[in-house]
Amino acid sequence: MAFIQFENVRKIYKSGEVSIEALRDISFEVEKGEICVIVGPSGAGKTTLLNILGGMDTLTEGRITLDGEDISAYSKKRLITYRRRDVGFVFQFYNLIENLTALENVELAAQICQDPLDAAETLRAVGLGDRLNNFPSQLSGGEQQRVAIARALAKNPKLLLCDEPTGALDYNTGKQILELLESTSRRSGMTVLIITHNSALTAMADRVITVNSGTVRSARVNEEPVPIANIEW
Amino acid sequence: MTPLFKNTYREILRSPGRFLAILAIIVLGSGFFVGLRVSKNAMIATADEYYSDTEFFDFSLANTLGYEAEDLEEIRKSPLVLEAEGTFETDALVSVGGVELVYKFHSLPEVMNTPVVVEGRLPETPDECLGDSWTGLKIGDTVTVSASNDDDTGDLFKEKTFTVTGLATSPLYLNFERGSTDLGSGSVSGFCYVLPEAFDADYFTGIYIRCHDMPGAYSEKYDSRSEELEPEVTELAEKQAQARFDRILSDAQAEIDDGEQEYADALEEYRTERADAERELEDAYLELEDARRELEDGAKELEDGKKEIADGELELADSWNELEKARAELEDGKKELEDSRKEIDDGWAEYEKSHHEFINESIHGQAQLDTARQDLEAAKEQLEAAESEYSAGWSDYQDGVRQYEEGQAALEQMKAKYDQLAQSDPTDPELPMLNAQIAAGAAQLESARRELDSADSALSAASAEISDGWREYNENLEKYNEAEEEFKTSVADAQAQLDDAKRELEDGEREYSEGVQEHEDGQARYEDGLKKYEDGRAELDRAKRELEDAQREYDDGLREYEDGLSEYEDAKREADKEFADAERELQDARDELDEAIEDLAELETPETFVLGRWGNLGYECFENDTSIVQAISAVFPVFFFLVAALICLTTVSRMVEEQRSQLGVLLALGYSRPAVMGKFLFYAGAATVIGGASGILLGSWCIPMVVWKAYNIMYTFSDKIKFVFDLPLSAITFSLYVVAMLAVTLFTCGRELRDVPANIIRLKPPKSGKRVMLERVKFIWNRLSFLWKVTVRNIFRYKSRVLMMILGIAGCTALMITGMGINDSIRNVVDYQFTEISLYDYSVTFSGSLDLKEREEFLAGVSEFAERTVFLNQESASATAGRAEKEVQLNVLPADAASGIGELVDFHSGNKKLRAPQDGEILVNSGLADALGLRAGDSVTVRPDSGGTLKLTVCGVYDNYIYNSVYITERSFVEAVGEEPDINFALVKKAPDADAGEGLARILSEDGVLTASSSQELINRIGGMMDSLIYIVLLTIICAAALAFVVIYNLTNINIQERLREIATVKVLGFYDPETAMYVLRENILLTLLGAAAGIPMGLALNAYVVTRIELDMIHFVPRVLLPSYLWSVALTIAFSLTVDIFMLRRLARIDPAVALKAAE
Repeated sequence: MAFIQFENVRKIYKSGEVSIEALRDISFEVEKGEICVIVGPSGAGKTTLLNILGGMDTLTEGRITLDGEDISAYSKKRLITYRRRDVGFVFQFYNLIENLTALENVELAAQICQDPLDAAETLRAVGLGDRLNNFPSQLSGGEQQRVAIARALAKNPKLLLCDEPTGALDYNTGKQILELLESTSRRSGMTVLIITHNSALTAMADRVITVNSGTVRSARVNEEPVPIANIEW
Repeated sequence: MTPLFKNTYREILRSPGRFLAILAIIVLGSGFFVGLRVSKNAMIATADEYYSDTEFFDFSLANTLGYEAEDLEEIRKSPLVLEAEGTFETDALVSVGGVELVYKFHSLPEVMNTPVVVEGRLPETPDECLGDSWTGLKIGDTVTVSASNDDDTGDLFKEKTFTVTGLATSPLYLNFERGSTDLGSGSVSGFCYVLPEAFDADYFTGIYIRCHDMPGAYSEKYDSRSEELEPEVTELAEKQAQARFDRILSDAQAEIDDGEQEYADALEEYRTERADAERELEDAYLELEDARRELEDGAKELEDGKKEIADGELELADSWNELEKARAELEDGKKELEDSRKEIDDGWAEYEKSHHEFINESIHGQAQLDTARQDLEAAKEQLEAAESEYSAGWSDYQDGVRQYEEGQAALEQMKAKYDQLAQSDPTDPELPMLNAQIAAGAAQLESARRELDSADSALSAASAEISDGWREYNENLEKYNEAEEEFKTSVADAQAQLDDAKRELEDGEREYSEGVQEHEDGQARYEDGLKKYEDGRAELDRAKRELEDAQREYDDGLREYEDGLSEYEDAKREADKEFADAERELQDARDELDEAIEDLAELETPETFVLGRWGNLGYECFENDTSIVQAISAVFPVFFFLVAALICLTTVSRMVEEQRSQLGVLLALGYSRPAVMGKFLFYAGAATVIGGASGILLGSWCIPMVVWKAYNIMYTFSDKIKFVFDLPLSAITFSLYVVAMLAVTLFTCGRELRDVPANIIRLKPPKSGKRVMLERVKFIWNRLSFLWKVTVRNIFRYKSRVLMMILGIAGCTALMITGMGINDSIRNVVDYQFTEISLYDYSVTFSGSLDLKEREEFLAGVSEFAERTVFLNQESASATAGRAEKEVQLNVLPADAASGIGELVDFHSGNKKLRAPQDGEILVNSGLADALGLRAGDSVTVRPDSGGTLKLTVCGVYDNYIYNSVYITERSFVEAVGEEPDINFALVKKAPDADAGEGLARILSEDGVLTASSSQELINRIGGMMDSLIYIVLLTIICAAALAFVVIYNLTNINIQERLREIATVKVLGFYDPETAMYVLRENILLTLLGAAAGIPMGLALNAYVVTRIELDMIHFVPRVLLPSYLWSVALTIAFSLTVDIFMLRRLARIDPAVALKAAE
């Protein structure tokens, strides 16, 4: 059984009389330790997919399992625990807490986990050893995203979910961030899901899932992923 | 509908809480402020209405002589006067249900100052009255004018007992104060309206008038108009007083003239009558003298008769003695005779007995002798029989011997035969048989031989016995013969003795007969003597009776004489007395006349008193009391105004921030800045206008109603308060809020929109994180948990919000502390007074000065329940220091009380004990010291109402809350006044287990006690009065709660909206709902604690401010806040804050992190 398994997942948003089918019969799987890139145009349902996998939203039909656990059957409270222990999020706009230093932002996440990594160590690992006590406003966008990644990693999660992690960054910084994600996955065997609209990035992935109009167009395994450093776009 | 309006309308609908918060704070702020401000006016308007309904006076006119109906008529004619009514008023001691009180009696008015009947009906007959609804009177109770009133007061009443037919309030007594009096305890307990006919007076004690064109009560216009009219009214009052004086003067002169004439007539009559009476007395005296002489003669005669009788008595006594002696002798003789008779009879009996014995003995002796002889003859016969038996035995024995010898011979033969045979034929067969025969024969012989031997010895023994028997027989025979001889001699002797005795007895009989004869003769002689004596006795008795009759006759005569004499003397004395009385009466009449003449000469023009409404205690107190509300109303605007401004500021700045891009677009499109700002101005303006208008209306309507509900306890004259709308105040308040809100909005918008549109369009970077000062304090910072650090940083991020929150919450706590503190300061005053200062249970006023003996009697009377009693002098006095003057109770301590007073009144200042005053010193209470600005060592002048002036040095200021009481020593008083103070007052402390009410009744029943009051009663009464305060406290608590809710809700609301993204992030990270809630609400908790802490000193200051503005007569309030009030205030503040937090929990739970994060993009 695969590490992540989507089986006929369906999501319908209801807003008054109107109901919108955001996801339709989604099925795919991801193996442990893989870098999986989910690619598709805006509004394809990528974020919804990620939110459901991340325990931030529930599905309407179907089944999702992670490491054998049926997360689609989780209660609301259980979902929070799931987010707390098993999932690390990286957002496009970093979502750091302005009032906390880099170290404190990481600690905030770490302190609610069962088996966290050392916050300072993690920050050093993402290359911010000398910016521990800076507030987010004192950091550049790339640095802020590194803090966000460190915050996700410090929780020692089962998988890392990244929603357009380079969306707000310039090309070089974006590349560095992707390199960081890649090396993290390769080094520690972390399963990483990256959402992007940039199909150039699919080259770096072990598995590429193309989503369009709320359904999976293709899911393929990239037998020979190219290191991000070698990809240009 | 302009787009701007639509936009604003939608804005309001989008987050109604935010708009409502501004609205609410403005409603509360303007409502409470205007409401409380207006309360005083509403109360005054209500009172004014009551005053005009009851036609309350503008001036009261009085003079020392009173007015008459014609004066009233004259006053009515004055153009100033709208109406006028005469009144008769007097204080009197009354007894109601056995308790002595002072009531103020009023004649029932027809038009002015009319009492309002709350129960029952007006009195219709002179013996009915309308009672005071404030006192505990009930319809049907009786009010009796007490006999202990002085004559002047008592004479004013035609009726002495009144039945209560109704209860009323009176405009003259708006509150519970009933005024003071010179009677009884010094204070009036209640009023009492009776018909004018119930009084025995032909004048009015005063006249009430109402003037034309008087403005409303308590207004400045009223006061100035009143001041303007006063001189004219005074002139009027004085003119009529003068008229009254002139009338009295001329009436009195006429009366004096009549009196002179009457006096002269009476003197003449007296003289004639006296002469007649003296003559009559002389005649009576002479008659009495004759009677006395006659009586003296009779007395002599009686004396003689008495002497004769005494002699007769003596003689009789002698003869009686003789008779008694004879009787004794006779009785002795009789006794002797009886003795000898008895002796003789005894002698005869003895003789008979001896004779009888003699015969018995001789018969008995003969019989004995005969028996002895018979015995002898029998013995002789026996002996002879034995001799013959023996002879027979002897012959038998001889026969036996013979037979034996024959047997022996036969045996020899046989033996021989045997031998022969044996020799011859040893084998012969007869041999053995023969041998056996021989052997048997030998045995037979042997036994016969033995029998013979025993017979032989028996025969020898019998022979010896027979010879002994003969010897004994012969001896006995000899004895018998001797006895017979003796018997014969003794019989002869006895016979001779008996004969002698018989002879003697016969001689005694003869002597006895002679004695009897002699005795009978003596008896006859004695009886003769006795008869003679009794005759003499009877005669004497008769004589005595005659004498007694004579004595009685004499006594009757004497008594008659004495009666006559005393009658005469009485008559004389009476006459003398009558003469003296008549003379005295005449003298009195003369004196009276002289006095009247003198009085008339001295009669001074009357003193006139004109009092306006301020002279009425209720009128004045009402104004004072309404100022409590006004003092409290001063507290509210501070908080509400500031908080309203801050709420507006934060809300508007938040809104601007949220809509920056929209605003930027509008500006970029070419809208002017004012046009863009107009939206926010409209938003804030709408909230302010709606809130201000509804707040002012609601406040003006509701708050006076609540306040009046509280004051209803003290002022019962109206159930409903008048609705008063204070237009200027409302307008000012309203425009102040509008201006302030708009200014705040403009300022906020202006600050935000100062930038160029391009920058405004761009999302404002979130306010960057900053280190706070506290982080430098490693000691504390390092100890804070991670989340608390976040909280602390957040708190200091938005200064205006922190300020608003702390101000609002501190205001909440402060308001509650103030409300409860007012309660603590006022309510407990009585408890402090009676548990910490006045330790006595009763204060007793005596009707006069008690001497030592009366004091002891009082002590004995109350000893059962009283533990300690101190006697002293108490009177009212005025105390002056500098220019200030105050009425005080002057307590003069006799030497013995100076030491004991400390047990009944605890003199202390704070924790410091104070000593009792020494000579020349005065101990003053704190209230007086404040009023006169006194400190220990200052000097003060005290003038007792009874006269004299004392200059004293203050030796201490003791804590005291009720009344102004000062203490001095007796010597200080004596030195200054020159006389001993009356001991007219006592303080009594009861035993802890004694019943307070019973003790009071016991004290009241003691002789000389005029009035007594129990501390317990006072505590109960004032305690009831203070109940109104609970409404004030409730009002402030509600107000505080409203403030707290609005502030905390608003802040939290904005906080949440602003930090939506942050909260969503935290949720994404996996914070559970409670953790998320705490992440946000921790700030509220911390700020609540800080705010509550800040509120305590603010509350204390406010409390002090408000309490010192509350002035009640007699009672001196000291701001106090008790521990429970602090605790409650803080606890309630926290509870209010938590309530909002709990409400916010749901809101936080509803935040969907996915949506929140998406929305921000």
